Amino acid sequence: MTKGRFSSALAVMAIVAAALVAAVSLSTVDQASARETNSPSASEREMRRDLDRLADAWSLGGGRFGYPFWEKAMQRWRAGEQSTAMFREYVTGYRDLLRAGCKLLRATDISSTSGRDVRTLLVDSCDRRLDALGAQQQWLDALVDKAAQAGSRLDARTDDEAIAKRAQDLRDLQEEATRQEAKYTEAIESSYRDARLAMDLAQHELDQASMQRIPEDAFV
Amino acid sequence: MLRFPTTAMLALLVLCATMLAACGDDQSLESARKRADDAARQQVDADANGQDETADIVTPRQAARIGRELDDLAKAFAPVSARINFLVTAETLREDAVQSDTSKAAELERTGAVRLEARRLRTVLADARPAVANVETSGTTARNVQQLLLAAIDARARSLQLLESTLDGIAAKVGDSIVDERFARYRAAWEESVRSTRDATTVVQEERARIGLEPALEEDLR
Repeated sequence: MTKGRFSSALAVMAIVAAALVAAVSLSTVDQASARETNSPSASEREMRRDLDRLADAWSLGGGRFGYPFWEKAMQRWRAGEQSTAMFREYVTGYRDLLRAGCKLLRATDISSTSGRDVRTLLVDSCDRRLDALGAQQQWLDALVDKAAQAGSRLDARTDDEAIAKRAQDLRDLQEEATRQEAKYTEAIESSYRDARLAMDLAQHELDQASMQRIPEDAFV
Repeated sequence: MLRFPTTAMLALLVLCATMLAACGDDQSLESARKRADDAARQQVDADANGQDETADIVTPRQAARIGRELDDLAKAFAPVSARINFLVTAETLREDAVQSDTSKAAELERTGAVRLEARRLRTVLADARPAVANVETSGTTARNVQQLLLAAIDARARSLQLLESTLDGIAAKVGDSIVDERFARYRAAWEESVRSTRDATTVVQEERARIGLEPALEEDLR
């Protein structure tokens, strides 16, 4: 590199560094003056806007129109009030909604550090929930197949080999169901945990800024 | 002429590096989790009023005892958690109430369904309160969780009262602004309850991690 080019590069770096320092000091001055007047600073308002945007994205992306119905359907299914095949429809519906929801979360325009951290947690929570729903579909598929196999008739002409094969198929399907259920549980717990941590962080940051909290169920 | 593009490219490179560094914050899930954990810990410490048990080293026997107490609390609270979907019913009613195109007849029908659900939930809360209160707790953390769960039950019971007053308002056609205000008060009490259960979950998970136990199910306390 020639001396001239090196000096140009240094000059550009110095300008960028100066701009960064200026931005940081402006933000600090803004926060300090805001604290004196006891009103939220520009960066705090920005954080609030970010958290509201994330809450909206989460709600539109499945929190409001997918989760409650899936959850209620799961309760009914566990209580034996709903068939496995019908519950699977709810799982598919929620998963489809959530796919778009995860994209929406990623595309949400965020400018504050706290907002970015909350989004990181929410995106992971969303991805893990998709994993969970995928595993739940396979778990339910195995249960549906097993029920169909168990319901198929054996007659006098069925030989011992066919009977043994059916018993083995049923065992395999049960094993598959158990495996997928474990995958579902692991993924959904991780998703719930990240959503709770996102909520913990969001409310803590708002408390620190003495700002009104977002709704407690914003990231269910 | 030759130097300008090189300078511009350099400037672009520096800018890209700066932007990448800024985006780097977004990439780190672990650092976000750590920040959230720290935030939760501060909150939990504040809620526990400085009663700190976390510095103690626990024996496996003590850990088992703490785990058992936390499990007992979760079990006593389970019927309340199972009815978390009450909120869906109530929120659907609220949306109907604020939407002008919902017929009055449909609104009143929904009101009846919510009253029925509210009655069931009140019974569950009434049964759960003594069950949670009677769980024997020997350590600070379990006592803290117990207090949070009792607070959650009380706030949820209060929110039910406020919701029923809202339903009375809808039936008596007291006017949209009064109904909206009552809905807001019910919602605030409900949120207080959810906050308590979230805090309780955070305390439980932190304590279990500290004493080397497997995490509890996140949906145990809702």
